[in-house]
Amino acid sequence: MLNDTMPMVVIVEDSETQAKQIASHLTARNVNVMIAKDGPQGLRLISGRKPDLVVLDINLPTMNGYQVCRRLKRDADTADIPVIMLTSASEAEDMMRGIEAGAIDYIPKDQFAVEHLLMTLNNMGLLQEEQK
Amino acid sequence: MIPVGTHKETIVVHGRFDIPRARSGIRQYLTIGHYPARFIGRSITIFSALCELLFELNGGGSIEVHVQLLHGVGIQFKGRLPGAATIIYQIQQQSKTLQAIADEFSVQPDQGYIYLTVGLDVKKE
Repeated sequence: MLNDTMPMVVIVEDSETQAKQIASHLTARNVNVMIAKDGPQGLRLISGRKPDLVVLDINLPTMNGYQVCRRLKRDADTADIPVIMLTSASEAEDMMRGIEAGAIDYIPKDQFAVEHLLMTLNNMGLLQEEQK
Repeated sequence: MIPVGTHKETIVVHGRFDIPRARSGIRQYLTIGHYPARFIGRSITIFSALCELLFELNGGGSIEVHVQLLHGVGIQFKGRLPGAATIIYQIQQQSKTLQAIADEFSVQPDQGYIYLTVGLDVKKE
């Protein structure tokens, strides 16, 4: 059940394990999370309820993350939704493509990924203290 | 609240494998300073791109990147390579995407070194 007073994050990630891992960190800090396993499903979720943030993998079936991001930025209803790309592609060229596509940040899936994602969300005012 | 003044630091990066550690430090510092998420994301990106370019042209070893954060104004990363002015064209060709992302990009030869500077203006966010 979604709580309307809590921020909403949509995670578009084809790895269920990774999506659930990220989601668990967010729900523990009072964030509503919806998970999509590919780009089209993500776009449907986002058009149904506008989230505060989209966390987007790049290597997705059907549409890649860059395409999903560009689609969001082209649509006036979704252009202002911040997008963070979270991906295993960590070359600077990939990072620059993400920024060019309209993402506000690009977090490589390295050993710092979850820490950096939480740090960024906290900086954006989307996180509360972790529930004990 | 964004702090005031200038912060200068030299970051030694010991190889491509070490870039995640280095950018993690920059991210933490900028996040503590409450800079906008997009500014932080772009800063990390141009820093990573500069490091990769320096490693590619340096042919290995460690590199030094000088970071200057002018609070409320922007951030600048500067690295250097040994070499003659003849590699400037090569650098410019290999850094077209970086030039498109950064607000400031310059390549200057000086006393046997080529200095690469990339920067972002926080007010353009």
